[in-house]
Amino acid sequence: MTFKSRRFPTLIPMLLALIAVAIFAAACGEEEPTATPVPATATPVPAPAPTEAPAPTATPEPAKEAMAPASDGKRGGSIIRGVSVTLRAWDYNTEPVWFAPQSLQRHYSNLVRFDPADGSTILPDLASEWSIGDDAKSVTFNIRDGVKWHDGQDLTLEDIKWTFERAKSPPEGERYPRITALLTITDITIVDDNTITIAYENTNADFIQNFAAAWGIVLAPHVMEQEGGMNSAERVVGTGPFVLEEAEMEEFVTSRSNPDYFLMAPDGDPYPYLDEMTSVALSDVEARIAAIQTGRIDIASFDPAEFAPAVGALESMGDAVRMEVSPLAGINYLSMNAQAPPFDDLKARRAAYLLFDRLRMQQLESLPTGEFASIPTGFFGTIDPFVDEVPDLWEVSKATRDDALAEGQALAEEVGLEGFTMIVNSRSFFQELAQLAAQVYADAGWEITLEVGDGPALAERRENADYMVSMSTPNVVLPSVSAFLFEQYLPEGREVNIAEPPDVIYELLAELQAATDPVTAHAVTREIQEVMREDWVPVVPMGKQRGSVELIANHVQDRPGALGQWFNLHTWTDVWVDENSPRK
Amino acid sequence: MRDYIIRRVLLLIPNLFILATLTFFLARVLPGDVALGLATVDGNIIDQETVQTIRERLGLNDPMPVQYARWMLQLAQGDLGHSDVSDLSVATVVKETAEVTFLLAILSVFIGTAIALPFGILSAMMRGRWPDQVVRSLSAVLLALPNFWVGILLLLALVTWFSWSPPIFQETFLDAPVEQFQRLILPSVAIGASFAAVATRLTRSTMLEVLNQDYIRTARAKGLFPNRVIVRHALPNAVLPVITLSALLFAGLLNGAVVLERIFALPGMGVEIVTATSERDFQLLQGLVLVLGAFVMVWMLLIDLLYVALDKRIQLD
Repeated sequence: MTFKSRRFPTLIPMLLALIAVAIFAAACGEEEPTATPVPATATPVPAPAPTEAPAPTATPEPAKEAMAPASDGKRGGSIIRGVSVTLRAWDYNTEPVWFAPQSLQRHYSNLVRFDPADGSTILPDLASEWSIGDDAKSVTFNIRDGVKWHDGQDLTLEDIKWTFERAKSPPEGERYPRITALLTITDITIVDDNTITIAYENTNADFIQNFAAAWGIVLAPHVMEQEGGMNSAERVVGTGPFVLEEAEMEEFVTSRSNPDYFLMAPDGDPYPYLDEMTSVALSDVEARIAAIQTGRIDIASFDPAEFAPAVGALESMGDAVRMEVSPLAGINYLSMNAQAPPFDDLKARRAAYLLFDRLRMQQLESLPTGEFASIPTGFFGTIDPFVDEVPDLWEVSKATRDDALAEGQALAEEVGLEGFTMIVNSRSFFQELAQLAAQVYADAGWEITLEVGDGPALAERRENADYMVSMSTPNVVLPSVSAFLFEQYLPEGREVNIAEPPDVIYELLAELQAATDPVTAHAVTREIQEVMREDWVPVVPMGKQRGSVELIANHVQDRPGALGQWFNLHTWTDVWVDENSPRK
Repeated sequence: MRDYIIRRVLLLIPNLFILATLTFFLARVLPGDVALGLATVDGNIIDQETVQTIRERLGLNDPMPVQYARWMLQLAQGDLGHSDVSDLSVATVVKETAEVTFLLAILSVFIGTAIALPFGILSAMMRGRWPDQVVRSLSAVLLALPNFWVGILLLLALVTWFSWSPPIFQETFLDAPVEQFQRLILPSVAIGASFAAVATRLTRSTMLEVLNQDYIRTARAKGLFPNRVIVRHALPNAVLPVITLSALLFAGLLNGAVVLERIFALPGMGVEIVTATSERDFQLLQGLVLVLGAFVMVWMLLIDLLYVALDKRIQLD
């Protein structure tokens, strides 16, 4: 007997239809307001590459009183910024990672700050004026009157002194990795009711930059000294333009405007223009793109490795958004382990340096559109005042590249080197970069083997000097060549197992730190680079990504390209939203 | 039954002890430690003093047996430990992430089963005819597609066609059930679809097997309505393997659907475990694995009890 059901099949589609209707009704119901497509107010053209180098030293002269506003903004409204990561510590001085300040920095002030426009000019912040001592071993700050902490207490010079005493002598078991230069502070003196002088060990005209850097914030001792220390969102108390409203670690940070902020806008009321600002973590790039496409966020921030998807999203979104490219202060390089052969030999290091074709690397890193996504650099990356001249260097220039290659190959033959093994971080960005570098060497006849591991695994190998070459992509906190040299390449610096510098480097560094005029500083910097290329070769410079990218809805005004990676204290004071904003 | 349950609950203790021991030692096979992760800037170690300070503070310089004894003592006192990176207690991390993980698992299994059962039955009933061919082809296609890719496609499709994307702020189910459901529905559909591909085929084959049994033929011969034969007689027996599969999927999902959690910014346990591993946050890793292990063991016990309820022939003892 054959069994045939006539009724059953009709039940199934009904059941399925009910489930589908229920799911989609719930999924699409009570939808949050989405952004209305806004006509373009600016052509979505990427910002120019960061080829203009900052001035190498701070000039010891009284500061301007206040920064010039980008334009008269309109008050009210809020913005939501989607970032890949928010925060993983309330006291961000303990966090060296690049994203640590990007969601908390707006709650704090510094003594002085970098101009977001160029990332290097020093502007007033809590200090309205300052002067550098004649011997360039101290800075004196004149602090504004009437500044209040977010909890209503007055800011005092004792608070400032406490902050930098803490940086100078961290409590036992604590470290503040991005402000280690402040360990060299020797004395902090309160001169009078508004004046404080901070002295430090070595002659250094650029030292003031440490007080402008993203991690150089002024902290509230009456909060930090409470039991448990800086252990919750409630204890994020600063004097900055925004007050922390609500936050969840690694998820979001919502801040409201500080009505008592000390910097005045052109309309006579305090900055900021925005009522509220939120940073929300959307780790996946597609999720960030989807969120800005549907108006759930106003700004989508992309890491340098996400350049290509961001450009693709811009093309698909047409006039609704614009794109800003923020220059990255830093460098990508190959670090050679000079604790063991072959790279303990200058000839081997120089062979590796000469065989690496930086223009070829730039070509390999270019976007599918043909646009260059990176800049060829020297040893000081994008903060090098002569970064524009790198393509014309003898070993880089197309005209003389063959000669450089021949010399590199001769040196390699002399030391018997035909390639090397390189340790690489397992994150896709680093792997891709390393593969391209390996390709550049392969073009020059060398064979490169990649060994992949995660962060702690590689750190252990570097700690034990158990590798030949590793790749580093440091972002730079301070825009001075002297700070970079000191913090990165010298034995006191962070880069481990690289070759000892010749003595002349120390002499030149002292000259550079004492230089208070740009002409002298430039001349010394040239000389340092010459020695590094010929007689030291601590690393092989590869280049640096052109920048980080933001897609910005067109209702957000006066938001220049400035991300956490540039470390330039963009505190969102003059950003505003127009009437097309869904959150106004 | 009561003795069986007591015995199984008591067995949890040695099982969890073995799990805790294995997790402790296996985690330490990984190169590097949390101090290296915490004291690294842009891939460079800040300085050896910082590394040593952190190691000293966290007791990482102590011999392995001492660290192990400390961990066991801690567990005996009911303390699962603290994250070495965020300083949050494991209990807090579990509290913050468990809801997402559980809801995602429940919704995924529900969607997968809701698709698999009717289509599996339909496919069996229409064996060899076009609905069967279509269902089998679709399940083969879904089986071949990675679920995270399906998730991305679903997201892009909704953005493109309906200008809709999931809410970006995480709220608890009790505070905002609709928003939470909207956040979870896409990853759940993606996981549920790939599960449905397997479960549909399983339902079909078990259904075919059951439909050929003598008691089904007897039921039909008695003149019962076809739907009653299916629902009352065939389905309860055919559904047991599907329940087993669903239970296993649920247990697997408790350990996290890491890729989808990342794509949809869901703060679930899977992402926490991966992050703890890559940061060598051993305390957090050990605590989370132990908690999940306990969940899974209890869950498997519940499934065994469910078998008994569904099929009286099964004797637990």
